Amino acid sequence: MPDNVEYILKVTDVSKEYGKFKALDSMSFTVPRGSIYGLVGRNGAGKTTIMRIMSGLQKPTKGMVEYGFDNKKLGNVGALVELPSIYSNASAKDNLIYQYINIGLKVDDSVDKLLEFVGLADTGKKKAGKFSLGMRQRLGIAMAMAGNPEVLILDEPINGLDPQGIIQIRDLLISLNKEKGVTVIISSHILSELSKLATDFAFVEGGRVVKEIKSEALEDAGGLHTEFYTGNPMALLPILNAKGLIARYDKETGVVHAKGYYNLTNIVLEANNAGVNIARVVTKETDLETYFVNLVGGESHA
Amino acid sequence: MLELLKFEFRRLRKSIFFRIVGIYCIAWPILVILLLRILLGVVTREAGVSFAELGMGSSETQYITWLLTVGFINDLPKFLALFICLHVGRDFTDGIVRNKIIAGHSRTSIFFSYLVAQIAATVALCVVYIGSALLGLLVTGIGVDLNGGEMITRLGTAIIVLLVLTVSFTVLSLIFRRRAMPIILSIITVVVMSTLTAFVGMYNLPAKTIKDYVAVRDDAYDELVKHDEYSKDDIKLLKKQYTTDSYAQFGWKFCHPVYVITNLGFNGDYGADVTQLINGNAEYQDEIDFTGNFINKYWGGGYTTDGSRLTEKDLKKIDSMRISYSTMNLMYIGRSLLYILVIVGSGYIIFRKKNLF
Repeated sequence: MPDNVEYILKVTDVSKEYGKFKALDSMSFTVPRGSIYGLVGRNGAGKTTIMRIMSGLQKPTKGMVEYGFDNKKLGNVGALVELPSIYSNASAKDNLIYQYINIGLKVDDSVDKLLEFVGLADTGKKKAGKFSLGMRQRLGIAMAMAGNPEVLILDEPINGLDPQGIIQIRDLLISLNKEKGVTVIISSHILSELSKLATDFAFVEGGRVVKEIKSEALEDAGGLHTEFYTGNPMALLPILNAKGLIARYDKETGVVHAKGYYNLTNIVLEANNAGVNIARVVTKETDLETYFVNLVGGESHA
Repeated sequence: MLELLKFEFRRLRKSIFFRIVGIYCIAWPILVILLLRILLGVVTREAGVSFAELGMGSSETQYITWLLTVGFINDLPKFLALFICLHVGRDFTDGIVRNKIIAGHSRTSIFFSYLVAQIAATVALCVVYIGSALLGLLVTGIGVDLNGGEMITRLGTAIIVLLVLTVSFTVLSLIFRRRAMPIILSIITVVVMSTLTAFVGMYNLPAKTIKDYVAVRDDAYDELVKHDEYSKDDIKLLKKQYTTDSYAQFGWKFCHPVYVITNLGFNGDYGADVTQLINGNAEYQDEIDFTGNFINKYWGGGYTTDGSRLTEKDLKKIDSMRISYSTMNLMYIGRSLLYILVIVGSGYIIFRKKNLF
């Protein structure tokens, strides 16, 4: 597969059945090259199963996964699925050396650089089994990163981490994506974190992707939504539009709806100068979690 | 594949358990030889001569060389069962096998890299054991006699026979998701095998031997009739009483087929020389002589009650009482390779199809 295709990975009609249980049901989505692609879904929605299939651990019952690069080349896919795969009785450096040998890389000073990159340079001979969860996750990511993979598949990489650990992993992934151009496919229960990280989202429900959306589009679809209650809606509309908001008047309810962020004091002052009295303002901010709940219904268990 | 082999060999080099088994392979034969040397010293001192003065015959030296160098075939299986199951099992519990698949290695390469590494490890351990035993024999002055180098082929055969177990333990470790299962099954295999070896070993005769003996015995009966020592009716009665079953005993029907299709008779077959040695000096340098076995096991320890008056010398005329080492080696090598092929083949199919990671 040539490297010049726009997608790094394309999942088409992939199904996975375990006896009568259907874990994936004709799942399809496309991961753009260079993106941080967030998979959002409830427990049992099929996120881990598709990640296992993408990383080669399982074969689909039907359907196809296409790679926009040579996925047979050793080390071109890096993955951290479920738990970090590391030798608990070996040091961080030894683990990385094993991974280098595993993918046929020459063991050189890049091992130390990689350890430094993930913040494990000073762990010395400490066995990985004695690492904290965050350190193990970082080592797992370092192992997955060895060989500069085209794509990094990470299933719940911040699960169980403390806030500091979450920030470290987030920064690490952003720098990987920005500095090394690695495409990252990531799933996480912590949607607020995912929303800070991902450039693209796929919402998974019942073994299918129900929606694919870019983060900008998500912001457009979501963001700050305000309801203005006024006796002179037609005069308020141009004021709001002039502030860069997308405003519309709902004749049935008599409410002016506006999307976007603004300085309320400025709007109230300008409306007052134009003789428009704003009686009440109701704001509602749609974040990733709200968007997800609205999309799939029920409470968020992602 | 090359990367995976490098990976596995590095792992072996760093494995503490492998080092422990390695140390055992060096220390144990030397310890046994030292004890033997002390024992021989005591016995000869009681006889009023020193061990050095007494010296040992070629047959004895050959027998002791064989017995101590081939000891690995009984000593190593329990260690191999534990070592292989723990070593390979760790890769599953730590998720290393998953890493290998994600990195882009095929299941075929992963499966065979484990096999090759474990086979190499077993061969290395055997060579260390043999080397240590030979060194011990030389240093203690007992001496080494490799039957003009022929014994090296026999030892090679023993290693291949042991490899059936190595392959079995490795395959068991690779096809179970529950990590305790391979350990349990491997240990059960070792225990059952060592028990069965004792039973099956009692029937380790070439299948034709008893049949051939009956034919020779019948000739002897005819001679006895000719010399009027028995009547034809006496012979009829004796033949009715001493059928093949009466020599081979009831266990023959189960144990002999097991002996024929498995490697469980290895100790008995290659140990037949021991009986030969006990009965007198070995006559055949290139053959295993089952006469002694036959006498001890089927002839009530040196005489027959079937009235044929055959002597040990008569038994030696029966061709099927002897098998050359090269034939025996080929039999065991062929059988072992077949086992290895079947075990590896079925394990490979399961490993490829089963969701183990």
